[in-house]
Amino acid sequence: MTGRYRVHQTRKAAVTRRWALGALATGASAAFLAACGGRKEERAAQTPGTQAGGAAPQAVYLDAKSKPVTGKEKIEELRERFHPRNLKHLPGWKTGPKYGGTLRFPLNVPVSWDLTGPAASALASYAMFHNKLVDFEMGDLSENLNLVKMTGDLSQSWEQPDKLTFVFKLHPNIKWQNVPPVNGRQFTSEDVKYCVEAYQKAPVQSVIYRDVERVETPDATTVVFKMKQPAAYFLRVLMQPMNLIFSREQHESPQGLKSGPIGTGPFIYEGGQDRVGLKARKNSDYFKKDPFTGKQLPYVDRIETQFYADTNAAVAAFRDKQFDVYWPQNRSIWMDILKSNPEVITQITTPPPSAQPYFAWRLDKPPFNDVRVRRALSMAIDREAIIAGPFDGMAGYGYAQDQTFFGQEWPWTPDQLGLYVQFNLAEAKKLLAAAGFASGGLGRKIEIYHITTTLTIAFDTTQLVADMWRRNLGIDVVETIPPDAAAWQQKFFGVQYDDVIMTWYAGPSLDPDAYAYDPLHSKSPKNYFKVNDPELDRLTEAQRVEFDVPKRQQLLKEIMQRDLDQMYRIWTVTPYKINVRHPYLYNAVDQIHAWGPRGWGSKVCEYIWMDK
Amino acid sequence: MTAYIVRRLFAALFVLLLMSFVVFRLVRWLPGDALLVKLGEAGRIPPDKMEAARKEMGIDRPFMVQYASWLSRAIRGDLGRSLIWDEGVATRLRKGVPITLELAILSSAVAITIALPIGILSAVKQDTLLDYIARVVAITGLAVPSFWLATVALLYLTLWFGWTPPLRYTPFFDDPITNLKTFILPSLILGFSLGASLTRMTRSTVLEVLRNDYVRTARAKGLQDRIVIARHVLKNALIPVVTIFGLQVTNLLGGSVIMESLFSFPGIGGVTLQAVSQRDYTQIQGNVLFLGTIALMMNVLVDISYAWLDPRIRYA
Repeated sequence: MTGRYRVHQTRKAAVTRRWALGALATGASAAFLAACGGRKEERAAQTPGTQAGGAAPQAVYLDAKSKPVTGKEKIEELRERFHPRNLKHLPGWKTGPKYGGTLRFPLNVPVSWDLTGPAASALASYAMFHNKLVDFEMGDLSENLNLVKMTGDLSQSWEQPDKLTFVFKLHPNIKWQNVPPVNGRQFTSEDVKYCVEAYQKAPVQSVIYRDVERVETPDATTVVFKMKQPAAYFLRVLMQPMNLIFSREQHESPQGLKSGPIGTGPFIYEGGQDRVGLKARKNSDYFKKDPFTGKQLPYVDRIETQFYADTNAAVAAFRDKQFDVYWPQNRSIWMDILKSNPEVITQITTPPPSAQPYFAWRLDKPPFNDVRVRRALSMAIDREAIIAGPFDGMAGYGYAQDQTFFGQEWPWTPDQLGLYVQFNLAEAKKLLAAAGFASGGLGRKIEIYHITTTLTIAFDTTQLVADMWRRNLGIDVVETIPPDAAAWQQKFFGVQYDDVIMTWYAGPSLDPDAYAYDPLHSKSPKNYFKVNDPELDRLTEAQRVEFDVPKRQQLLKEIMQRDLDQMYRIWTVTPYKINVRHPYLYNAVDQIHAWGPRGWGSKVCEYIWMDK
Repeated sequence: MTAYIVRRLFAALFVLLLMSFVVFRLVRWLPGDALLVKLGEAGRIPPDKMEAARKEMGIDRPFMVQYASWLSRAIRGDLGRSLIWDEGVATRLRKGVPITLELAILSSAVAITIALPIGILSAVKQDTLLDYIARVVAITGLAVPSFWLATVALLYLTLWFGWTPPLRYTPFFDDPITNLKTFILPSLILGFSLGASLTRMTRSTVLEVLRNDYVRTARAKGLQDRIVIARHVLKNALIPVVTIFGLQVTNLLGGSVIMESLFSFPGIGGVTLQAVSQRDYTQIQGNVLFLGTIALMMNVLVDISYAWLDPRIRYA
C-alpha cells in the first residue's frame, strides 16, 4: 500500500544512496581515520529488572543489549516495552540517587532572557533557574508520564474555595539565589504578586492572566488569585514553564531581566554564548527535596549545554557521550543509535497534542468553503500509509486535543475521530461530485504550502498528501517550498496562505482550552484558520467556565466532534516521542507535554542524577 | 603607489555605501517578519501587543527612515542592536570573528602546506607517477564537497574509532589543547578542499614559467634546479596563486558557514546565516558591512602583493 506513494519510494532511494556514498567514503578516508585513533566504546551491561508489584513478575528490557530491537516490532509492542512506567526498574534505583557530575545535553542560549518580552515562550526551556507556583510530575519513579499529574513547586498546597478564588500556600523557606541583586534574600508572596502583575502586561503571558482581577497576599506564604470570571483552564496553565517567577530587584535594575536568569531555582546561571551553549552550577541553598527519595535537590553539580545545528553531529556527540541524553527524530535514527550503542536506555512516550503535522486551509475561499470538499479531501488521505511511510509505524492518528484530559493514555483512534478521517475513496469521490466536481479535480490548481524542509517528517507527510490528492482525486496540486522558517511563519501566523498550508503548531498548553478556544473561537488571535462558527464560539466559551470535569470533558468532546465534522483543519498523524539516554543517567525523562531535560521538561534537571 | 591605494580606498567606500543600501532593501523584500520569528511558538498575540512590540523593535517605521537612521549611526561607528538577540550587532560580530578567523588561518595553513610543495613537485616531475597521484588527489579535493567529507568523517570516526572531535567550542586562551582538538578536523577538511584548487593552479603556473627563456638561461648558467625554482620560477608563478588564495580567504571568512554548522562553531558565517533566517535586519546590515570591508581590503592587499612579488608591476 505504502509503496504506491512517491515520498516513501524517494526515502528508500535516499537510504540506498547514503549507503553507497558511505561505502565509497570507507576506502577514501580509511588512512586518515586510522591516524586519528580513538577510545573503545564502553558498553556497560544492562541488567534487566523485574516489575514490582502485580501477580507475575515480568522482565523489563529498556536497552537493545539485553533484548535486541529488530525494527520490525509493532508500535503496540514498542510502547509497552519502553513505557515510562518501566523506568523505575533501572538498576541504579536499587541503591538510589547519587550526588555529583555534570549533565550535558543539546541546548543553545535563548535570544533573550527577558521573561516579559516577546521571545518569552522560548524561555520555557530554561526553567532550571526558576520556579513557578505549581509543576507537573517528572522522573523515572513517576506513576505514568503519559498522563499529567500536578505537583507543587513554590507552593506546597493549593485550593479553590469558590469559582473566583485560587489560594496557594508557599513553602516557608524559599530563598532567592545568592547572586546580585537578590543576594539570597527570603522569597515571599509579594514576589509572586509583583511577577503576576508584570506578566499581565507582557506580550506572551498576558493571555494566561487575562481573567485575573487581582492578587492578594494576606501573609508572606499565602497567595490569593481573585478572578474576574470563572477560569477552568487557569490552574493547569499555571503548570506551564511560562510562569517562572523573577524578582522585582532584577526587573527594575538598569539591565532588567535581559542580564540573565536569576530565580529561586536549582541551578545558578554562569554564562552562555549563542551557538555554543550555557553553563550553570548547582544552587546549594535550594529549598526543594525529592518527593520520591526525600533527598535534597539538585543532584548534579553542573549543567553544560551544547548547541548543534546538524543532526549527524548531534548523534555523533551522543554516541561519544558528549551528550547524556538525546531525542531521535524518527525510528531510523533511533535504530542507528541502538546499533552502535545497544546499551542506551529508551523511553517511548505518547504523542503530545502540541506537536503533529496537520493542514490549515482557507475556509473563506472556494472550494474550501464547501464542507463536502473538505470532507472529501480528508477521506482521500490514507493515514495508515503515512504512518507506515515516513513514520515507520511510530505514529498514531492525529488531532490536537489532549487525550490525557479524558484519561486516555495513547493517541486518538480512528473511531474516536469520526467518519471523515477514515480512508474511503468511493465516498470521497461521491462528496466531490455532490460539490460540483464530478469529473475529478477541483476546477483549478490548488497550492500546498510546505513547512520548512528541515522538518523532514512534516515535509514527507505533505508530499504524500499532495500525491494522494493527485492520484486519488485527480486534483492539480502545486507544492510550494518556503525559502526558510521565517517565510513560512509569515504565511501561517499572518494567515497569508492561498489554499492549504502544512503546520505543526497547536497550543502548546497543559490545558485543553488552548486546543479548543485558541484555534476555533472566531475572536481568538490564534485562530489562524478563519474559523467562524457560532456553535463553536458558544461551546469554546462554555468549557472555559466549566469546573466540573465530566461536564467540561463533554463540552470539549462536542467541540472536537463539531470541528472534525466540519473538517476545519485537516488532520494527519502524530508521532510518538523517543528519548534515549546513556545508562548511567537517571530521571532524564520525557513527559507527554515535555522533552526532558529541555523544552518544557527543563525543570527535570533538578531530579537528574548520574551513576558513573 | 600611495595615490593608487587612496583611490582604491575611496572607491571601496562608495561600494560599501551602495552595498549597504541594496542589502537594506533586499532583506526587507524577503518574506517574513522579525517579530513573528521572535515570538516563536507563541505565534500571534493580541493586536495591541503586536503593535507595541513592532514599535519597540523599530520595524514599524518607513523604509527610508529606517535606512537613514541606521546609516547615521553606522557612520558614527554604532552598528545598533540586534532585532532578535539582546546584544549589540558589534558584540555579536566580535564574538564570531576570532572563531572564523582561526578556522580560516588553520585551513589556509593546511591548504598552503599541501598546495605549494605538491603543486611544484607535480610541475617539475610532469607526467611521472608522482604527478599523476598529485593530480588525482587534487581533482578529488575539487570534486568532493567539504560538507559531505565532514559528515562522513563525523559518522565514521565515531562508529569505527569511537572518537568525535569536541563539538563544543572552547576559546583558544581558555584551553588551547581542546581548542585545537575542536578545530583540527574541520581545518583539515576545509584545507584539503582549498588546497586542491591551489595545487592545480600552482602546477599550471609553475609549468608555464618553467618554459620561459629566463628559466632556460638560469639553467644554462649552471644554477642548481632548486635555486632556479626558488628564485626564478616560484616568485613569478605565485601571482595567480596569490589571487586565488586571496579570493579563497575572503570566501572563508564569510562562507565557511556549512563547516561552522557541522562542527557547531559560533563563527561569523553562522551569525550571518542566522541573521538572514531570523530576519534580523540590523545584524545582517552590520555583517554585510564588515564582510564587505574585509573583501575589499583583501582585494587591495592582493593588488599590492603583485608589486612585491613582481617588481615589474607598478601602480603609477
